[in-house]
Amino acid sequence: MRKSTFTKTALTLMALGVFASGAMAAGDEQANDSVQYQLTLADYLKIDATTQDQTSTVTFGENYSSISIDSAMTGTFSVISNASSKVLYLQGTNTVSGAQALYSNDGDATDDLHIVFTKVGGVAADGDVTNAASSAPSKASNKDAISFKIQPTVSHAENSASGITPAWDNEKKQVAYTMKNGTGTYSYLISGSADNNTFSTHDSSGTYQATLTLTNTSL
Amino acid sequence: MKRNILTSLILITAVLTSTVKAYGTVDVRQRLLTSAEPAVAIQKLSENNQGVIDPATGTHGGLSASFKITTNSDDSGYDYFLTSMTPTSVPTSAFADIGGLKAIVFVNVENEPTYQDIERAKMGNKLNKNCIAYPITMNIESPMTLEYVPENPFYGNIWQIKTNGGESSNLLQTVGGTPITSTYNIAQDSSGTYQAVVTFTAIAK
Repeated sequence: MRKSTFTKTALTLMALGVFASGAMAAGDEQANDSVQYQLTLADYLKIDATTQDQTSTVTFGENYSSISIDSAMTGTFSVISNASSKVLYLQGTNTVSGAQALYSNDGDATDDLHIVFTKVGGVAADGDVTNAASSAPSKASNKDAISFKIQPTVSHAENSASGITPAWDNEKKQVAYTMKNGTGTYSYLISGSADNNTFSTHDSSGTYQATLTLTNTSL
Repeated sequence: MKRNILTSLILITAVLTSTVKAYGTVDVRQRLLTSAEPAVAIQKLSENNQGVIDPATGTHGGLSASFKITTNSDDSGYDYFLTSMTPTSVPTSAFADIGGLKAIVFVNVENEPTYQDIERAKMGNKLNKNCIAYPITMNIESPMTLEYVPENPFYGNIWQIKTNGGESSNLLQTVGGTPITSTYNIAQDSSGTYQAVVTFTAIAK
């Protein structure tokens, strides 16, 4: 388009009000238009058990009155989450179907967290697990069920300032961790002697087992 | 010229007032003059402005927009440029040059990054929580040209257009789908909506 033609066209269109929207007007100081780009980043959560299944032999105390773990067992989970707030749950199970193996009698999920192991193929029933997890266990009432203390260590490298405070849910027998986005390492050490009155001759020889699960699904 | 006008007026007066029969012709001419003022129009022609980021990689399918600029003025009449100010409480330019790669920084509008995070993202520094930089390319039809101009006093980093005598050209901008290394980190960048706004402006000098 030659300039003279363009000018004539522009003047004609202006006279007709075509540019009244402000898209183009003679003598205008300014014209502009914009594009707003928008990208949606969905929630992402990855939980990996970074340690293999942990096993240890145990040593009996004098007169079969106590038992202690020979090799400390540590289960570790690594977590990556991009949600600004995400709740993870630590849950415990053992060989007794439906039993809630994790417990904290004083509600402190850091300093008073325990788990009940039960014998694979043993006679423990839900009541035995419940008794072992009680504040006053009775040896005769927790057959093939032995409780040990868990020492948790939770770190959150990229978001340490926010901290992660565990919350014990006594109704659902699980620990809740509310984490901001970032990566986290959740480690659980089980070592030392069994909890008082949860080991006795009522516990027959064999393999005792418990499972810790870290998940974003509440019980 | 004055003399001619005077003559014409006398003649017109004579024609209008004289009752004497005239024996000649009177030729009155009027010259019409007008001027074309500078004019400019900028119109967005198309946009592909929505996308979804893969959390694992930070990639998306690519975005784009096109604009049309029409002007009867040359580069002395207007400044033509593209700006992108972050939609944050302390706005700053979202355009960047990261290691020679032209980029645009998207920010999380639900978890607003700090000014420092944005500036670090523009430098390719990995401490850029809730900012993600993607490559951006700009192309404009000849004879118009554009170039990246850093640190404009008013708008920070901008893209400046020269019309070079052209009167109408289309501009296409494309946002690449792969984040610039170190600006996306799944552990830093929280889920939500990331946004960038590009404005094409012509302003009279």
